[in-house]
Amino acid sequence: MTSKISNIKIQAITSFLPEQVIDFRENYKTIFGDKRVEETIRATGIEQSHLARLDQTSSDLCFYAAEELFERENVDKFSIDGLVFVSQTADYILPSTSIVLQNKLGLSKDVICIDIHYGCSGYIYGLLQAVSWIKVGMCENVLLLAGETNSKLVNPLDFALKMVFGDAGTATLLTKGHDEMAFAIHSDGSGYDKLIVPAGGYRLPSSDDTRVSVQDRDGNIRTMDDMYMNGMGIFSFSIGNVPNNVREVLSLQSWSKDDVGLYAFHQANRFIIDCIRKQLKLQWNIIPLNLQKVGNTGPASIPLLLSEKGNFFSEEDREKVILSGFGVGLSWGAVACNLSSTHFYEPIIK
Amino acid sequence: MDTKKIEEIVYSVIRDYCKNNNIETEISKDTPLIGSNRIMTSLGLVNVIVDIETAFLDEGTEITLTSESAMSGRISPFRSVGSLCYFIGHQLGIEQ
Repeated sequence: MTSKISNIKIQAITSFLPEQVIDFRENYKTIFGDKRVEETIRATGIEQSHLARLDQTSSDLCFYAAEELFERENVDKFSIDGLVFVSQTADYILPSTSIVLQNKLGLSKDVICIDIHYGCSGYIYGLLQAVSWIKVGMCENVLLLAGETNSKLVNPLDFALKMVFGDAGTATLLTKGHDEMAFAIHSDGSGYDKLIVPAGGYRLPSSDDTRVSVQDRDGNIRTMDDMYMNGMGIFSFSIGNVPNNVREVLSLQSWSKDDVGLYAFHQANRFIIDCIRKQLKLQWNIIPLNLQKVGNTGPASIPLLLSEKGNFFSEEDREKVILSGFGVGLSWGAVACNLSSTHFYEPIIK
Repeated sequence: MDTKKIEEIVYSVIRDYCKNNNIETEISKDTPLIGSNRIMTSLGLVNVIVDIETAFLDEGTEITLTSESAMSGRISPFRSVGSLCYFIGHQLGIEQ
């Protein structure tokens, strides 16, 4: 799917990180061993992550980010007429978490709410949903909340994943404007099992059998109720598809790769981003990273990155920006957009 | 650079990795790097890839082991030590 949508604007982005910080060297060396911890950090570039409290959900993290956005941008809550919540860790099986957030945030009952059940590519889908509502005239101000509490999906003894994923919540405000966004989104369900929580849905309900711990040949322990990732499979998929996806949106906007002042990639891990960078022949100075301190935060990773690093780039640099998300599904998508007038607020941590 | 030098670099990096990680195995062209019989973790392979690229760079030769064509192909260049050496030779345009 490719599409260009005009007369929209990303007005502001805020983010929230839970205060509990897990330093991998300090916390995991005694559990997983020095060599494994160092090998993992070297391969991923991730040294720590923020973890939500047990009683804190993705919607809670997004709620704080949204409240921050309303306050910093002086937004009349009743002007919000669309709410998109992107996460794979919803509050309930039903109802949709976006509806719960409508009430919790004190938004109008006229607001349209939708949940998007996507992970690492989810922010791109959320943007497309939000700007589509604005473009067709259904909405004028859409709040896009993207958050994840990956820590609740990962087995505590699965060091390979525990040292990759982190928790975060973000809020993005989209409005009518004069900008244009070019989207290119792809799906390949043949890889559905490369990143999966096998049990707990209706295909394979959680049971005593699915809760049995199994150790894989690398020493990671997990049950079928926990997240599983085929690391090499996801790596091959990413390198094989993301560079072309970026070229697609560049072509849609008739931009060259060197016209772009900022590439915001999903913060999967440093190695994957470096491989994508090499394929596209890009310099590091236009590819910000924040994964070292926050890990892979799924659908929150791109807005969290922009929230933290957006202001490091000049308005001119931000006139031509590429956002790229990829992962679970398998699914991948990119956006070419203008963020020169977008307001970025640094992550709040509490 | 010739096939002998390529094998020398690749075998050396993999042997160092195995030594540092207490992996006792004889390295041959058939040694699997991915799949159920692989000798290292996927994270270990990532580090070996980086080390091989660096070792070639130290010899004045730039290679990319994770190109789009390699990763999107049906057959992975990482299936064995031999296939990895062949892939590098092919990338450098060396007759094999």
